[in-house]
Amino acid sequence: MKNANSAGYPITGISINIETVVKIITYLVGALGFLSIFMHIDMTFNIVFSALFLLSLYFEYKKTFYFPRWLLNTLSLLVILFTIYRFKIGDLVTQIIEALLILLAIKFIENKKFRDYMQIYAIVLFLLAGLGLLSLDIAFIVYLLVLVFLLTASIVLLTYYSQDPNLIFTKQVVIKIILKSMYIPLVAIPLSVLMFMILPRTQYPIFNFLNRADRAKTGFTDNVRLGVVSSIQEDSSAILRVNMEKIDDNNLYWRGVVLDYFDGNSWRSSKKDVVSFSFSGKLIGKGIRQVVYLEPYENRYLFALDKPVNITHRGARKYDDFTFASLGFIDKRIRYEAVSIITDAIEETYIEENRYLQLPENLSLDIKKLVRNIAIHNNEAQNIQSIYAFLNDGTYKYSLKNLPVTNNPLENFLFSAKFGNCEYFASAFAVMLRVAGIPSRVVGGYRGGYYNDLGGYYLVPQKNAHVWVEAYTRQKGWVRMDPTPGVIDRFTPLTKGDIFFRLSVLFDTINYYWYATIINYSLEKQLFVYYSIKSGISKPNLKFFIKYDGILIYILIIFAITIIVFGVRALSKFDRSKESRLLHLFKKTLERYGYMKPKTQGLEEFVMQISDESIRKSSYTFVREFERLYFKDRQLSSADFKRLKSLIRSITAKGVGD
Amino acid sequence: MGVSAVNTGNNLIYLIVSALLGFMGISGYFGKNNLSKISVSIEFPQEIYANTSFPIKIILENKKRLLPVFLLRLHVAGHSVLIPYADAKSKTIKYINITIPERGQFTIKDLYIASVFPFNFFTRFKYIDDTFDCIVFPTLKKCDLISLYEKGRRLRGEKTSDKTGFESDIVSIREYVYGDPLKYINWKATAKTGVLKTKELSSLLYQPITIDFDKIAIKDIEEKISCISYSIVQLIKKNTPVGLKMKDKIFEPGNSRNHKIGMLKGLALYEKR
Repeated sequence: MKNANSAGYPITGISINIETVVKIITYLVGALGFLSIFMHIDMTFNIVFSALFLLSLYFEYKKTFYFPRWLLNTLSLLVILFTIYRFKIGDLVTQIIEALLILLAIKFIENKKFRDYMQIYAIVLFLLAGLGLLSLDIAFIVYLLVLVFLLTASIVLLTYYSQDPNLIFTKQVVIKIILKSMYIPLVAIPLSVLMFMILPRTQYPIFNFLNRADRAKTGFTDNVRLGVVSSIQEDSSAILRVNMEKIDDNNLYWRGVVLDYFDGNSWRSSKKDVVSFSFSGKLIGKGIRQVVYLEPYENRYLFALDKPVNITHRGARKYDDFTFASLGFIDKRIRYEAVSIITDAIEETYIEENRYLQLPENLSLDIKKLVRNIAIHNNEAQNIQSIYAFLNDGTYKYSLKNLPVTNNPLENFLFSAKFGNCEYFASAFAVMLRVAGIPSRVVGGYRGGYYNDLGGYYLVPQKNAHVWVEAYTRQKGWVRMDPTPGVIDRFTPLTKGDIFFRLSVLFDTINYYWYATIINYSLEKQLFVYYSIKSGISKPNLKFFIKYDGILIYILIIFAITIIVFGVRALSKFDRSKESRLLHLFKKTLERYGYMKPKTQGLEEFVMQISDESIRKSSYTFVREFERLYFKDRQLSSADFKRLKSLIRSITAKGVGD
Repeated sequence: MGVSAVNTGNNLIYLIVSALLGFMGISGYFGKNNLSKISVSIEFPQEIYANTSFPIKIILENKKRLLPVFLLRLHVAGHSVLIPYADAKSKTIKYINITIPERGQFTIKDLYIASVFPFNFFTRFKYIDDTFDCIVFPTLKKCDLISLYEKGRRLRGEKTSDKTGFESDIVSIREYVYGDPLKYINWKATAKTGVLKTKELSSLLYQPITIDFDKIAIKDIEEKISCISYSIVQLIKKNTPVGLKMKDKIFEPGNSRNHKIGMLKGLALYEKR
């Protein structure tokens, strides 16, 4: 009976002009495009765009006045000419985006035709592409997904509009059209993922300069200057993410740079000898393979777990002190693989003793005297232990605040202030060793990190920047010593139970996968996936699938499938009329109390058989009311629907509800 | 944008490009699917006359389980009708008015559906193989033939039929039924029985007329057929039994609707097969 409505035009309801809906969505699309890039461009353009956007909204509201097309076209041309005029190669993308944004605003002001709407969508897509060039942030995917759904709805409605500009539908039909067309992105997204995986890539992109260098993190330098605390030690943003197995916290030293020359105030590197990658000294210990994601920062050292023997990165160099560096500054996030050997010592039979015994000319006599009093043994190893013990006996405190800044920072630290950060401890230790005739050097890098079990990687924040010392003895070679007290507690977070902390870890995990799988997807990975699938097909091996790239990928796949299934279910649920939804709810409710309605039984007949009086009465009230409205042969109004629903809700057995 | 993706090696641009490609690919599928599992049937009215506009009823059935039909345009015999939306597993009914210039058998065969769904990039067509037949009766053209027959009929007078009506003699008397006009109450019988009684009269029937196709002196054959058709329709409207004598077929006089349609069909197909 209610199927009389099959023509798709319910008799009642609010009528909506298709173009109005298209306009609303288009303005949302425009706003989204603006939102995605407004952080990256000049304020002036933001203001101009917002003003024009609001003006166009006002015109839409008034519907009386539109600028002539020729005027707006001329204006667009001027914007393009202006962009060419102020053309600067360095910031090409930003300039293009700024120009596009103004063109977008002009498009909005126009009296829009089909073509104009499509142009607006194209411009917004280009803006988003610009965002991709300016920032590799995960926010991109959010914008893209929202845009995909909005654009689908909008273009489908626009297609309607192109067929008949005066089409008018009821609200329900418009909602149905929009919801049902959501099947398109639901199917298109998995296909897009596949496309993303198979699209051809090149190893040497030509226009690489368009990718704007990420904002480099300031902080880590190869010039450790005492007393000048850089912002680094309060910066909790990540510098390293290292995908590897979990190891003992005591071994978590991320080696970056080795410094040998001390001028009284700061440490630097006097010379660096490049060695071949096959050089591996005499390192004995367990080998650890790592995949490192290094954030951009203002230097070129490639960090890896102490002591790295190999790093695979284009143009990387290896030095004889087991440090690695790239050719230029690391101006964007990079990924490289590293192999390190966990050992405390680097065996070396010959070293340049003068180089590692160098001391500043004006070194305080007090320090020399102090060392003479401590290093009283004949044995080098014992002297090292004595000096280490001296710095660690509790007299010297770790502090980041009010560090002594003088011309003789070391003297000040050792004899008066007696507190400092790791740079003081390491410097003092290294210098004291040298005074005692033991070659030493300072190693800069990072310490500790939080192991993310979900992602299987160490997250090392900037503030974990650290310096330690390597002392040389003929028997053992270079031995790592860390004189800074209480290091371990500071560099491995203890607040594991904190909900905010766990949330931030979760976000970091998502970010990590975003970089590891999307941003760093490359020709090599493409080939890897191709060969894995090929070998997977020829040699079916379930293990391969489970091993590949952690569980999170599978969680994501399951998540995606769930969303699709629920999406389809939700969309098809909308098909069911209000009446059948009510009946379904009614039946479900009664089933909870153990009353099943046979198919052949009428509603009233069924209700009369209910033995519980309270249920029977309230059910009967619903059935009567339902029938009264149903047999009017009109669409149920929303108010009626709600009322009937609450009637069903009020069905309770006596004694159960009380 | 594809070029820029390759040349910048930027994976986010790759994402946009893959999304665009994904949508292009899938839009093809949705466009095709939109036209699939659709059946169309057409119903004609019972009487169709050439050169006179008449409505045809188009029933479009969407047999898909999940997806509705979006923005479908149905083309029938040079006309088209837009079906903006039809739910999954539903029937949509549309009417369009068409005019057929010639009498005889008419077949709708070049029936097709078209849609620009989903993105207005290109129009997709699908022909529907079914054909739908109807017989178009000749154009009704006013002519003098009818007055000729009318004269002859009046000369011969009228005769009483065995059907009940309101014009002729009393056939029977029956119980009064609520709603019978007062003037038909038989007061005599009512007085006799004490119950209201109603007279039943028979209806008058005109003398039958038989039109002899060959004897009508109109040169143009179409003209002649139109004239005869007009006469038949007019006479039967006046309840006059009409018969038709044609070369190979003789229709005995009658005044029923089926009889009329039979004769018009005969005329419609005259020398057309």
